[in-house]
Amino acid sequence: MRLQLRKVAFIKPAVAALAAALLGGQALPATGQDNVETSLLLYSEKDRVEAAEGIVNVGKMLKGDRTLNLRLTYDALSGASPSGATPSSRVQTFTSPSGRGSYTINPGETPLDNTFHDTRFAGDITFGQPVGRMSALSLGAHLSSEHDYFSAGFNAGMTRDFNQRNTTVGLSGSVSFDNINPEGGVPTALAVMPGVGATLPREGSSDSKSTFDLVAGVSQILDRKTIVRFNYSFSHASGYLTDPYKIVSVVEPESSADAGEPVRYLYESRPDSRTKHALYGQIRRYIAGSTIDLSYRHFWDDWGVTSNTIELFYRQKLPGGHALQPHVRWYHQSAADFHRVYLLDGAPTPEHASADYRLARFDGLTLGLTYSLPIGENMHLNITPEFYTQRGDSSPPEAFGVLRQYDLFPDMDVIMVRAGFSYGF
Amino acid sequence: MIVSTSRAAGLVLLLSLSLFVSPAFSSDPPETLADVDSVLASNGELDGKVVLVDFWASWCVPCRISFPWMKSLAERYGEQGFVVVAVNVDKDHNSAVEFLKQSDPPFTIIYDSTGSLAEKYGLEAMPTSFVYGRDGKLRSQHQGFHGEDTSKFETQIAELLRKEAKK
Amino acid sequence: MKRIILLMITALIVAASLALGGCSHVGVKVWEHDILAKPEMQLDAGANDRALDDHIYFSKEASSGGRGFAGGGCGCN
Repeated sequence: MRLQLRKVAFIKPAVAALAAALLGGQALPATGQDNVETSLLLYSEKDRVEAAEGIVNVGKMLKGDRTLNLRLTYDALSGASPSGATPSSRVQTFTSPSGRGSYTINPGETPLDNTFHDTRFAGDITFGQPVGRMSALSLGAHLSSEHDYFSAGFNAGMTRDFNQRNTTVGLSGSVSFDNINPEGGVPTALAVMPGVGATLPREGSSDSKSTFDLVAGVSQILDRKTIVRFNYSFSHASGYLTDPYKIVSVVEPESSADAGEPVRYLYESRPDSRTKHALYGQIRRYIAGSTIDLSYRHFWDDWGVTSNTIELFYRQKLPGGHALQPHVRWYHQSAADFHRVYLLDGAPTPEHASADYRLARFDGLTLGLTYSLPIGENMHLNITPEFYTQRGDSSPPEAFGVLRQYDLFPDMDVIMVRAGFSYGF
Repeated sequence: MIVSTSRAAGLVLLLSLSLFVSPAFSSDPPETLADVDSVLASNGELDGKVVLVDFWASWCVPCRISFPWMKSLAERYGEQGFVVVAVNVDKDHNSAVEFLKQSDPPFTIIYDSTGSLAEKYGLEAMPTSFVYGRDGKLRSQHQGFHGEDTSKFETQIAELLRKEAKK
Repeated sequence: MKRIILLMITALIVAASLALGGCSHVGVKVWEHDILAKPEMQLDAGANDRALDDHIYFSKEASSGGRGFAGGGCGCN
């Protein structure tokens, strides 16, 4: 076989011997790049929660191709969140989680608990170590703290390249131990919310949960411009999985003159274990300077939630290193088995019940646009305005009486702006 | 705790683990500089020299990092008969030229955009370099570029230059 | 449920063995990673953005998980 080389060239020796002085044998150049990435997110739900979150991520190459990654996250949020109670034609009064105060909701309005505010600080560290030429191990730990929540955990993972580095197989596991310290203590499941000043039905001041996660995946290069990956993730949590701040309305039955009006409120109750599975597939392809990324996730758990997510990114390169990236995400989930819009007065109380809209059946849609630009050598800036909306069943079939007049799943609209800065050196 | 699902997770784990122990590939690079010589049509320019044939690309970060080191080797050992032949495998010729403009190494450059020479050498990593002795025979092969290996690498080259005195 | 898990494992095995079988048309040589080495082709590019997104979805939806390992890329060293 004859060689078909396009061109043969000889480059004349350069004069400088500067490099020799710099590289006396001591300096050990790393084989990758150190980098710093920071992100800021401003998040605003219409009439509800406002939040800000910042991330600083530092990646460092160490001797022997080891890597160290440190990530710090801080977020603060405040505003109102739906408590789970149904709207009523009367003024409703709720006891605040601490039991020391109360708030009222006007007739016809979705009950929102506006005592919601929190700050969170989280840090995680990951250490990577190559094993031979084709494998790598990683070890990590995380800590996260809020005024009513603390989480700590460890993770370990390995990846291995095969098939002339066309295939990468990875496996990672993590464990996490969480402690929940709700304001006013841990409410007794399905106990009646008392009036202000009365003794709160409490199980103690704190509770805990533990989570085990596993991800197994494979990524495969298909051709010079295409890469795909498939992951399966498994998660098992046990312990206190209930939201201590959510309640369920017990309403007058259909036979009553006040059909659908609330009689009392119960603290919600969820099972004490949950097993989740997700299958994830992704394909990314480079097409004439642009990049298309399509991914799909199928999720199911033993709470009866099934969801499907499709996400699409299209990155269009612009002159001068700039780029524009529109992004769409569709999401649909089914309701958890124990999700109830309300409970009926006089009917037996189920073992578990939650009116949390996040466990209801709904659709989500995200639209975003990222603009990225270089601002210096190895320095990039990107800005992403994003819109996220949730649409559920405003008048579900189980609505009756006065409940038929009200919106039982108000649209949730979120406007977000993300700004990111990255520097490689 | 974890009941039926743990079996599935275990299976996935087992499968993944089994993949981790598959054998590596082995390559068979040319024993002599004949292929490089024929591309260069060098009329014996490499005869009697210790030659480092280095496969690189502008998109390969470790390759770029290795250039100052190879440059310093070439400058320090050039007079003793050390030559670097840098085989560029960029498909986009301009990217290679742009990098060379910055780096300006005193190497002989071969542009192998079709990868035919890379194919002959059966590359399994970027960069990969092959060291030939003064007799034109392959002495060693180095995959990747790791900062901590450089001094050993250099010692080996210096030894080859010393041991096989110039004819 | 079990059937889904079984199906999924089969899919994973098929994908893995396809890849490992060294199907000669799938994949590239190590010197052909010029495009795959581009920053925008890294599957873990924009990790901060994805982390922020995942945090929002985790707290507003009942699902989580999915994303995992990167792979691809430069294929160097």
